[in-house]
Amino acid sequence: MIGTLSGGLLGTGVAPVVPSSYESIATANVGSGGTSSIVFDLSAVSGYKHLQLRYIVRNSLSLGYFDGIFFYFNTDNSDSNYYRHSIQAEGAGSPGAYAYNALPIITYPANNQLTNTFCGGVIDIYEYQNTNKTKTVRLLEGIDINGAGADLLRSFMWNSTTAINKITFERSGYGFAQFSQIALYGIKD
Amino acid sequence: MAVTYDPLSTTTLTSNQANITFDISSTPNQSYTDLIIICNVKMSGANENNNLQFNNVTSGGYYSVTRLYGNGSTYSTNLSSSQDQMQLGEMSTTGSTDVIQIFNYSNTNVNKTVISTGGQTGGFMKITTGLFRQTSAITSVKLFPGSGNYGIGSTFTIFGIKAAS
Repeated sequence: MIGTLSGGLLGTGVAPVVPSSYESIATANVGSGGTSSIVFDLSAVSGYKHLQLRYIVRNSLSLGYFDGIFFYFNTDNSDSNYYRHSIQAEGAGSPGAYAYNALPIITYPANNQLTNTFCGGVIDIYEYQNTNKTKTVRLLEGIDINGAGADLLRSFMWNSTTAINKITFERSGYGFAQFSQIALYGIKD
Repeated sequence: MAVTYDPLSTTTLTSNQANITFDISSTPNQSYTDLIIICNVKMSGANENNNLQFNNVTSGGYYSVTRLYGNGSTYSTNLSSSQDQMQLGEMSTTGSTDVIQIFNYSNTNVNKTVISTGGQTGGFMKITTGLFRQTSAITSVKLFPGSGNYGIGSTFTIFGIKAAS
């Protein structure tokens, strides 16, 4: 696993903007060898009210069935500043509902699980630049590996009114396998 | 910034119909990252599941699903492996919606993951994750109820979402 992958930004040479309410901002594609983290720098992004991240992800580690990688905003990676709630299906077992005072998380299959199989998901970040509101996030994701799987609906709260200028996906010792992809979109009013 | 989230086609049924197929094999329709299909359905006969098959693959057990659902008073989960179709949202005779998201449909390095979120006026809701255990690019999507027909007036719209390269 190597280094950090940047989703990029877009300061120079940007094509003329065509009016639309939903636009692609940047995409992180994980190459051979994987990556330990993915970062989206939003400092040069403007004109959007909400953000959406769409992804397919797989753990670079061969560890268990499913696990998770955290994400956080700006430089705040303190569990105590985030709240996480979820309802989920865990295969054929009973549904679960959970609440934690912890960093937001996305789930992915371990690298020794069904070959070429990824978790798909969508994250919505509402009013990410509003400095009068704490930040609310919704996540819908799912994994199926033919015989085991999970459906996850989650909400997160970042207990801060600071505008979001960076999104970082990382967890110590974990990473993303090759062909993982996270795409960032902006949504206007 | 790249403009995206384009409507590719919409079909409104003028007669009861047993299935609908989207042909997305053309070059422009292979240039998106994800697909979203919004099904707004009234079944003509009885309530039924909304099923999906890709690329005319109808055998071999290449599909599997994991479901989380509620019927207004209870909730549960289940999964089905090695199926010949993905069994997604629950369609009703009084009205139902199934939003089907197909991730990285043209990426030949990955099996295809699908998330369906569906609800119907009878009070049934379902989140389904589906897997198609093939790395081939998706060139066609067939939707069909478990039995019976989609009713007149049902609509099916497919959108393409393109990520920045």
